[in-house]
Amino acid sequence: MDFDLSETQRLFQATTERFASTVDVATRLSIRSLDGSYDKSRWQELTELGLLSIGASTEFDGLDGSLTDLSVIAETLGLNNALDPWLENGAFPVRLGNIATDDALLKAILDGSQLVSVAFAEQNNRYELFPGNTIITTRDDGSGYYLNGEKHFVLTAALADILLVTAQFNGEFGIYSVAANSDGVDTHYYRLADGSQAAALTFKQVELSLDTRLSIDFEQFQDVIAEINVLCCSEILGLSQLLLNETISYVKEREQFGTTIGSFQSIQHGLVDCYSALEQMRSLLFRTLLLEDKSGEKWRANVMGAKAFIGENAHLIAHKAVQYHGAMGITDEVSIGHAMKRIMLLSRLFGDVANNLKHYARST
Amino acid sequence: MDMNLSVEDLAFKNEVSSFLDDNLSEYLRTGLLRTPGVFVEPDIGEEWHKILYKKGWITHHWPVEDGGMGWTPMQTYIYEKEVALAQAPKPAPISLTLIGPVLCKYGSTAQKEKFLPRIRSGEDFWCQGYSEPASGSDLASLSMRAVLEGDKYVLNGSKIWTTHAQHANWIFCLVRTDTSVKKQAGITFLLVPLDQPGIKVAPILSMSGDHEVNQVFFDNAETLLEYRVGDEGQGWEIAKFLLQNERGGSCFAPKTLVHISDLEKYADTYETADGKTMKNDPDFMNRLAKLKLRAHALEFTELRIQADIANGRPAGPQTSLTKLISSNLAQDVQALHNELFAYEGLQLPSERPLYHDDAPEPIGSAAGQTSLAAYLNGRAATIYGGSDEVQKNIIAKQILRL
Ligand SMILES: Cc1cc2nc3c(=O)[nH]c(=O)nc-3n(C[C@H](O)[C@H](O)[C@H](O)COP(=O)(O)OP(=O)(O)OC[C@H]3O[C@@H](n4cnc5c(N)ncnc54)[C@H](O)[C@@H]3O)c2cc1C
Repeated sequence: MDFDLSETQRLFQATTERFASTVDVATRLSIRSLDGSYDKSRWQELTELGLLSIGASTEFDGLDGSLTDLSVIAETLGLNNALDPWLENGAFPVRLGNIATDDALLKAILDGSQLVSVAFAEQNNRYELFPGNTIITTRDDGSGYYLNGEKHFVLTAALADILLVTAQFNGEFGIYSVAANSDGVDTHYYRLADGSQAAALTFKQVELSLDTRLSIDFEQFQDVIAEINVLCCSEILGLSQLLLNETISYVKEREQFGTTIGSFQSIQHGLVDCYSALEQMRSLLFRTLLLEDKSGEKWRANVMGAKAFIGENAHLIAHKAVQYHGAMGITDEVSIGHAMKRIMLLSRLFGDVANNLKHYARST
Repeated sequence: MDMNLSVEDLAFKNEVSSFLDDNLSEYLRTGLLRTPGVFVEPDIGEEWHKILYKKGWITHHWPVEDGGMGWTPMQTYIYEKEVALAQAPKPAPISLTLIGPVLCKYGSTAQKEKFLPRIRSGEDFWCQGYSEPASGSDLASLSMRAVLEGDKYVLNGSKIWTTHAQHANWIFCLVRTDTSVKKQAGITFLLVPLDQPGIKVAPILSMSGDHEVNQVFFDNAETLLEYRVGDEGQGWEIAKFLLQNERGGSCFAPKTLVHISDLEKYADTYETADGKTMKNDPDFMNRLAKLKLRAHALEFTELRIQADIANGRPAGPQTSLTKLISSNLAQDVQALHNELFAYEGLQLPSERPLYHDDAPEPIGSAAGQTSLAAYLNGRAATIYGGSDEVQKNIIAKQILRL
């Protein structure tokens, strides 16, 4: 039995660390004030470093990395409080492309020329993944197809070239690749918790050809979501570790009443609770990563359980981190708040703690 | 034991609620609902301030001779509850609840004559200069210096986390005037005009994107000797009196209960994929029910304190208990509120205010648009006015005698 990282995984870790550790809070804020709230040259760099191709199959010039390999990257991004949408605009579409064996899509992603956003969330559909009101219809004269409907929470949409839109056609699930600048795509940008820019999209009679449909069914889609959920857990774990590390250093330095606040027992006990939560989070993540069968309902339920547990404990750690920083903890000037906001977003992506727990409880 | 309102109390309750009905405009109500900050923005606060001023209720809690209404504790509670139910803003709490009562109790006649009318009318807007970069929970360690030169104090140092200093024209400060005595004994309470060359106000943005707090720098700033409240060295006593008012013979529960019933209403409109609403989600409703029970209990804890005060038994460290309970409860209500809104609850617009016409369109509902910022700002509730840990220390020592 061995839970240590392999040689290659340590290499991925070091590469990610080098890429992510250069952005301090001030740089982060200035990047967030750019158009689209992100610096696209970072995306180029991330692609060139191979951080996306690790997740792609060898048949598409990828490294065919395992979920554990990807988890190492996600955790390292978290630990460095990265603002790069590697998970949502990188790993997510890459894994969809793998399953769909979509050469063109993967190529466009891996050479960094196209940024892809997946449009899967709908108002009034809460966390349901099966599209409710995004629908494809046949033109009256039978000569083609239209996409109609709406999505929200489309991540990093302002910089997206390609949208992968979940939609129904004859009641059947499908993902369709739509150019972001297509006629009939109405975009309303808005800012999210982590400072990134998302969009609410309305599709009005967007012309579509059926061969833009990825060859992926709903079962497979849910399996990909489960993988990305595992990566959410990994990034959350890294963020939580960061919160604990920063808070431990802070309470060792900050003095009140003539002594460091870390010498107060109530703070020591609170941080021990955080540490214990973090160890348990890591263990459950390892358990999930090492499950033999990574497809099907049972796998997905296990992932949801892990994510509920990890999300809930991460909130506890974030709250303590803010609290023990005092007023400093509520400002935008320290990394604490940024980490907490990213945790909120990730732990709610594809379903929140309560929702994941409900699925897990039902299936075990 | 009884909970019956007297005939007078009932009449009073009706008077308050019909006044609120007649005077609280939709603009003010929406303004408050769409303000995610801890404090109401001055433009909303000021308008409501003027209305209450005209009615004579703006300083209802002050001593009668200084402009108070002489209400009984029960009447005050009724008033606060009606205000909470009507969702009315709370104007200028730092002026009205903090410095006002201090001046009523410790101010000289000249100070009262100069400042109290301008606080009542809203002409002056005050901020609170207590905390310093190195002195938060341990306030008595503060180091901002004030040196008396002739009839003036010269001030050097800095204050931090100063709420709404960007809107204020006066600041009240705790300063160190004597370094040779025990730290509490060397502190003095000064009133300082903000508009002068020796003072700079620098904004600090919170993680919600709101600008509520500031750092205030004093570089040979000045104030007149006549603006000293009490004697040199009396600052700590005054500070403690003020902190008691800050923690308050409180009335947190009614507001929280209103937030909970709002949440219940939103839950009933928030549809899920099966076409039902979140009101049909037993897990969500259980959590809401638990919050409601905590709020009902808090209301009676607060009423028990009011009854004690009415019966001549001062509240004392019990206010630490209500501060502790209510701030944690408020945070948990905000968390569930934010969860209800799912993805919409993750929007965090940086534009302010959100109640003006040029504010960005919300994704989903207006309540969802402000939810996250309110939740993030709410994390401060267990930090300011004495943090959770500090309140627990007080309770352990002063109530449990540990
Ligand atoms: C939104 C907001 C508005 C504010 N407005 C004002 C204002 O207008 N004017 C003003 O003067 N101040 C204001 N403050 C400052 C506030 O009073 C301080 O934040 C507070 O006193 C705590 O001080 P600190 O932030 O320096 O934290 P610290 O005192 O450094 O505390 C850090 C952590 O250590 C813990 N701790 C400290 N001592 C102990 C102990 N003995 N035992 C166990 N734990 C301990 C604290 O609970 C906290 O978790 C505001 C703060 C906020 C967040």
